[in-house]
Amino acid sequence: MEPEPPRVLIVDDEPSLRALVAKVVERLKAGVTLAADGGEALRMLAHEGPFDVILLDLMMPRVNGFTVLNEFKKKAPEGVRCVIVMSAIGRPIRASDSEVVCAVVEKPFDIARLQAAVADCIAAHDDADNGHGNVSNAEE
Amino acid sequence: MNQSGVASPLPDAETLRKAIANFPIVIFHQDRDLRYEWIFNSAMGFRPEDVIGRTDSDLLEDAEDARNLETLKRKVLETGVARRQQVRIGRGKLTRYYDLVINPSVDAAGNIDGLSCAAIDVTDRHETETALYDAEERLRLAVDSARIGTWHYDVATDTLFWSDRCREIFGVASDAPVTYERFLEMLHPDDRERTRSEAEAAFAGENGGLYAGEYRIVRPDGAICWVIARGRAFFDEAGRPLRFIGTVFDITERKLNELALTEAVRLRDETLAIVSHDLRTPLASIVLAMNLLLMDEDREEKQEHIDIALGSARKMESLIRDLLDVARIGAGHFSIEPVVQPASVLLAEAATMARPLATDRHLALEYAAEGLGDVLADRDQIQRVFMNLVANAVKFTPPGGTISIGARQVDSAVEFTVSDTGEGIDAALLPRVFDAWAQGAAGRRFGAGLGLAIVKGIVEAHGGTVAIESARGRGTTVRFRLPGAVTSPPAAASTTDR
Repeated sequence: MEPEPPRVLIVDDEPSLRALVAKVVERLKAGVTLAADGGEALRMLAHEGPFDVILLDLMMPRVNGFTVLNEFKKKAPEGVRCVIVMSAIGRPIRASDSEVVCAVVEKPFDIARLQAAVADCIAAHDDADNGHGNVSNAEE
Repeated sequence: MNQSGVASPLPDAETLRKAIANFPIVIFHQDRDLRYEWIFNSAMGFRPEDVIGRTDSDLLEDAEDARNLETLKRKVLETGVARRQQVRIGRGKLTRYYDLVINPSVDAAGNIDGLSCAAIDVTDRHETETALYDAEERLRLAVDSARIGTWHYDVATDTLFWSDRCREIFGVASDAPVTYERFLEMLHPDDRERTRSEAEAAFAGENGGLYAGEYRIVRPDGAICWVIARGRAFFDEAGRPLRFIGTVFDITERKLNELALTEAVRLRDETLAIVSHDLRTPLASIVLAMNLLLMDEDREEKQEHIDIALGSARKMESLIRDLLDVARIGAGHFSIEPVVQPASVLLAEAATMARPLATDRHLALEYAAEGLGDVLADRDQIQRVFMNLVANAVKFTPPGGTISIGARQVDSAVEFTVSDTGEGIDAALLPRVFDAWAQGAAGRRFGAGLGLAIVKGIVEAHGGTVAIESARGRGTTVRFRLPGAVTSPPAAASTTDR
């Protein structure tokens, strides 16, 4: 039986980048959901979750990526790190975010870097699901 | 002198004369008419034979010198009370100072029959004193002109003396008493304990009693004043402090400049971070679009990715243009080419540009214009104004909201408005929104923050004005006025000189 395709939420206020990232992720045979800012992302998480991977931009109008991270930390199941931060401002992730952040990809990133980050993130969850590793310590 | 009570033998007159002749002392006697009767050790080139039988008025070239001397001497003759005074005697180019003692001389019947005088040459001492006085005067002048305040603390009386300038710096009235504790109370709370321990270290003799510090004063009117202070404690032989003297110098202006500079550097660094962020985002689209282009087989997909790359490149170009324009506006070099045109045409163009942006974000666009006259405007630049204002409105208004574009005639000018039903702007940020680089709270920033600065620059280059009204949760309205076509064009059609 075919396994369920992984579900990926893409959050970025820049429409063209959002569309391009979606295309790259679709090539990994993943299902894609789009959000244009943090507010939409939180609504998607509440109504259409859970997602295997969340690709999250930080600097967004209205509700930004930091707020999404904080909200997500409150609700995420412990030990599940499924956020990949897409950042154009260096690496502003605090240590406390590492419990939910799996990787940071700095803009501009190429397809290979993005696909590797998404694939690693999905693989880490699969390992955790199969009891082969402790996800929360996987990268320390 | 002769405390033992044993009379010491007096030398003979000749021995005494020889001894005295070696001292810079002139001894003389004058009668009741102030004629010299005898003189010993005469000085300044006066020979005894020239002097005897003459008066000061006969002898001295300077009538004032003579008058002063004779006045003094007559007083002794009249009162019988001895006097001692420093006097000046000039002769030719020579001027000497004497410590003159005038004693009444009394005859056998007890009547004053003349004066018995001694004059010691104190010219060297006088010159030293004068030099000292001059030096003090120069120092005082320097201290005054450098606006340095001076202070002096006396341990024995626990009193602090402040110069007028010192009181001015501290904002204390010239008659208000000051103590060390009162001084400490006037310091900024964050500087008080540090200053106390620095001053007390000097007072304890550390570092040779030298004190050097910097602190803030909170003046009675609440103003903050930065001060550098220097001081030195003086001690007695036992090492106990006697007094503490020093200076204070107001460096507020320098401090404010330093703070402004620090703020400017911080702003520059922040700006670089924002610009780099805003250039990286379209760059990310270009990189991904190019990557995908290499893999695309479908002709339509290829075209789509080329379009995205080109669109992103144009966004980068537009940001770079904004950066350069902000620099030009800041330098007063921003120029426009205004021509007479109907305000309604400008407004219609703005609405056409705004409609797709609003529709994309599920926002309603309201548009109203009637009875508008002509304005003097650079069409491309005014469209940029609308573009920036609509872009802000769209960014900060959640789906379902409304963007309104309108205009009204105000005398000869036309006032255009762009308003939204969005999240609004915090009152604290409102005064800064037209500054380049002003942004919402950290992490909320969006775009380089140049939009409104450029709007202001363009409108002011037209000789117009711009204003903003907003409140958190109540939307934002920006109004800008352009002069009507009947008024003369703004001089040189450029931003006001700064």
